[in-house]
Amino acid sequence: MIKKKICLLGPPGVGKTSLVARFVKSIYSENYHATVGAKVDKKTVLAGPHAVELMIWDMAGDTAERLAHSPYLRGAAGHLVVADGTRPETVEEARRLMAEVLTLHGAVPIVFAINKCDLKSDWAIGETDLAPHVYGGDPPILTSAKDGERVELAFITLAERMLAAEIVA
Amino acid sequence: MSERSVQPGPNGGPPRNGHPAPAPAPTGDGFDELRAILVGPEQKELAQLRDPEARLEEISDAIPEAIARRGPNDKLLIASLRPVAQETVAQLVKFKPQFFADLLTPVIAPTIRRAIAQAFESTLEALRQMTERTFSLQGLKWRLEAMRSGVSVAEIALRHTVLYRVEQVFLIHKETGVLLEFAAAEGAPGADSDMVSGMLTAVRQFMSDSFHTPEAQNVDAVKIGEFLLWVEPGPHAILAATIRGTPPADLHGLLQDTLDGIHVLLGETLEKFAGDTKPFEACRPELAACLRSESSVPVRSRKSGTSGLKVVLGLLVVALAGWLIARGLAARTERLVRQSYVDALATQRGLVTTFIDAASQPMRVRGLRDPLAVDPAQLARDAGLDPHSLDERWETFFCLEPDFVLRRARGELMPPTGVTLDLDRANRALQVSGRAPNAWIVQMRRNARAVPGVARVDETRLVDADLSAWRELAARAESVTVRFTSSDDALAPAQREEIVRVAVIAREAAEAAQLLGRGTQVEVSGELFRASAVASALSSTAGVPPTVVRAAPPATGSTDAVSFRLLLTDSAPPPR
Repeated sequence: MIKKKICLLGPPGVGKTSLVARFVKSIYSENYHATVGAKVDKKTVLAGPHAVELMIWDMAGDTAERLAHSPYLRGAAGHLVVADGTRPETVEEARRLMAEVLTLHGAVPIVFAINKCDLKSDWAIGETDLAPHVYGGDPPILTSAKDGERVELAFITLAERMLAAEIVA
Repeated sequence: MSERSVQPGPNGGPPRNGHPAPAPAPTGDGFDELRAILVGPEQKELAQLRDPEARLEEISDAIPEAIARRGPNDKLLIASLRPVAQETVAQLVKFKPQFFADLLTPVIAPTIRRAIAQAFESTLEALRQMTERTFSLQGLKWRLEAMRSGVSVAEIALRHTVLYRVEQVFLIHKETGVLLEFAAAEGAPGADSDMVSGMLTAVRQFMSDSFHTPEAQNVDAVKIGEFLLWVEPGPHAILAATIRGTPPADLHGLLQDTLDGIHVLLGETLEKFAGDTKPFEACRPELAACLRSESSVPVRSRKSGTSGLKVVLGLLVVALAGWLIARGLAARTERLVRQSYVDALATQRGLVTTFIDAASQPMRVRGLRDPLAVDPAQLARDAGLDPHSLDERWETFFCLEPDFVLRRARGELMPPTGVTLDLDRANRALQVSGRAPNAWIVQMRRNARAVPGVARVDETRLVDADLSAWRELAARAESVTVRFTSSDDALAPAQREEIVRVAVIAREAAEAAQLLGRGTQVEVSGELFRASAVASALSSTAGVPPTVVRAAPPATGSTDAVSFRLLLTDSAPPPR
């Protein structure tokens, strides 16, 4: 069994814990509880022909600088960076975070997810924000922890990229 | 000389080992001598070097010394020899198994014997402890505690008897927090080991980050409820152990040694770890070796090593007691069944027991039985008594109780419909009432006295149906009179009609008397001539046999009337 540590990173309140809960336990709660430190969860996914056990470190939301320097990121094989579509400043913060992580930790696979797509009418981000982002040229994955939309896709995409990066290495 | 200059191969063949043969020597003794002087010793040494026998001799001297010099820790030497050694052993096992078995037997046999003895001893010890715990006051206490807390008895026993027990051991990749390998003691409470290792790593990183402590001073022990979590850090992996109870300090040493060993074996794999945990499965035995425990229940010394025997004896005593109890219960059941049979016998009329031995095997019963009484075998079956466990003998007797006497009388006499039988208890008289044919009455009189319990027969309310019918006919005949109004004795037609009437009655009466076994005589009373004329007419014209008709003087003194009377005779008339 291949086991990979991944980290969920992003500003506070973007729905990182909700994404993990939806992905691991298929549940969603409207209640908001701020994460303290990190919470570890796990789930096995199929990335192509391989079964990969993801050790998911759900990190407390913080600024890009503090997150990028967090000791929790040590040993992570990939990151899922999350922003909130209804708050453009979180998208901007997430981009800074990705850049910071790449600078500090090298070419680690990162998937960028913009959450809360169920509230698209409240979205305040434009086309340019959805254009291929700085890393890898892939567009962000628009997710909804509430509806479960594309949540699995985000995690499986990250798992596939991690395996691909391993082969390249 | 040529032998010195040209070195042939073995057996005189061409030179070996691909070495070119020396060029043909130029002729001339002077040259040869010169060469011998100049390079003679070297040629000799060369020849020796090329001699395989000599080479072998030399190498065989050198090999042991060379191996000794390389030393037992030389990995290259061991790696080079390993395939050869492996193959040699494999060939030996395959083609000479007996040789191999003979070789190993002295080594393995004592070990096997010891292992079997230890396994047997530990089984006996477990049995002894189980027996002690099951039946002791302490065992009962634990059971109560288990019922109160909803935890299994085994778990409670463990808590009370174990000084410490290493329940789980985690090998965790230091950087990623990924669980590499895991071992748990039997019956240890389960937890998701992946999550535990992840969170433990997170906590350690949090502590390290928050308090800026160097790695060596990071969390190495956490107390969670009744568990202790010990952490041993290594360069690339950490070893964590959950422990119940109070472990000895030297457990740290064991954990650290184990971790060091894993680093030595798999240091490179740990360093380059990219998610594949398969190589770490090899560490499972090392982790399992850390699952130590110590019990507070003292293991009995060998001096009192008869514990196994005691356990066996104890079991035998328990088995014997069980057998005795079962036997007692069976005997009690049998006793109850026999008693119920005896009680049933006592309540039955017509059965008189004269001797009972309910304790004997089979149970013995002797007594008297009226043929009309219930079958004792049926009573035994109803009571649930096995017929084979019963030896009974019954003599026949006649019960003189009224109901038995009456049942017997009815059976013997078979009274016709309309006849009832009763018994006068005082004088044992069989009271017969109702109407019955004469023949039955005659037979009843003959047989009734033979019925046991009947002293006499009371017929006061018994009517002889045949006799009363005859009497009725006789009365009818007597009611008829033939009157003569004139002095003429000749019979007028009206008088003849009366005579015919009497003749009909007389014939019926003769038939009725026959049922009584007797005959009927017709007596014609009146003035002699007139009575004779009527009697003659009865015989001649009305068909009454003349032997049964007789004329008699008038009863009343009247002369102008002739009357009739029917008389029963003792003997029946001969059939016509």
